[in-house]
Amino acid sequence: MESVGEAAACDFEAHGDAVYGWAFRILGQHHDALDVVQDVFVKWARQCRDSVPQHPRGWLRRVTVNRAIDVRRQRANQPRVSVQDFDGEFEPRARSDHGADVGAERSDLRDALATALGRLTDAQRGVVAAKVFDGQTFSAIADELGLGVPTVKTHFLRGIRSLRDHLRARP
Amino acid sequence: MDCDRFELMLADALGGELAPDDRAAFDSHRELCPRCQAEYDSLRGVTESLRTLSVPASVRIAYRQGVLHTMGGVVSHAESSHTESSLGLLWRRPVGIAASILLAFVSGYALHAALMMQGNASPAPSPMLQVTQEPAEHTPTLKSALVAAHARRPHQAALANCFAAMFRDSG
Repeated sequence: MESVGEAAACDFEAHGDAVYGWAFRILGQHHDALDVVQDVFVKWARQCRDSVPQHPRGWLRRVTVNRAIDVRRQRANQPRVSVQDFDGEFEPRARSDHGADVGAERSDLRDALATALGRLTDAQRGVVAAKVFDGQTFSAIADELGLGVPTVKTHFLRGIRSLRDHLRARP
Repeated sequence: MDCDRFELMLADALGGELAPDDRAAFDSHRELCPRCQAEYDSLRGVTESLRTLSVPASVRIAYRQGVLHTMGGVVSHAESSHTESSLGLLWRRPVGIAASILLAFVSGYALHAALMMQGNASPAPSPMLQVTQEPAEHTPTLKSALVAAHARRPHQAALANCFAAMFRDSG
């Protein structure tokens, strides 16, 4: 029988890349995303000592998205631009991560989306993340969350509409 | 198709789960109804924005070992604590009980031997133990008391032999 550590390591091998992707979508920063991945899997290892969730991937996705939103909020309250981020004209530029150039405009959109995601209900955020970030079917999401398919679709539609309204309302 | 029916199909359309037949009817209504067209376009823009948030093409998780090490530290600490406590509970009690019994036996045996030396005539010494006759004026020690007690209790020869050997070896 494998130990908790071995099981947790296997889960990391299976889902680590996905967790990183979900975190990066929201944060847009490689090192912030790495921090979130580490936080999530340490929490996962502790969770598995008590009981293993029935849907590990769903658990990881929910915790990752929530953690990334929290990190984003915390970063927003800190000075976001260091000296290194200024070019010659003192124009702040977004950090590039692994060659992916995250432009300032894209960063603003990511900011706005992350903020809007944080304002959704837990159910709406869970369904939207599962559908859009993880490509799950409504049926699979319903099974994961223990909801009916029509309810899941309702959460999805309301979540997307709420995101749209938040994005429209930003200055 | 009317707008109510269009609304019911909106989640499936945005989630990419619309059946081909329904897709044709859905698209047909969009072309005829500007309000539904606008609603679909605005919501689709949100889902597309979420989906296209950039993730590095090559995700080098070079920290993998670091995360696994951290996870292992969390898990192994819990496992070693559990193991230590288990072993402690497993061995501590029997050892403690055995030590108590041995101490009680030795103390009682010595006391009884001392009392017997003041009592009746001594039985024939066991051939298994060479009894050294102590001078009458010599103050009995625990060693001599035990040896003498053995001389009076042949059936306890085995245990007495152990004590004798122990004292002999220790000088």
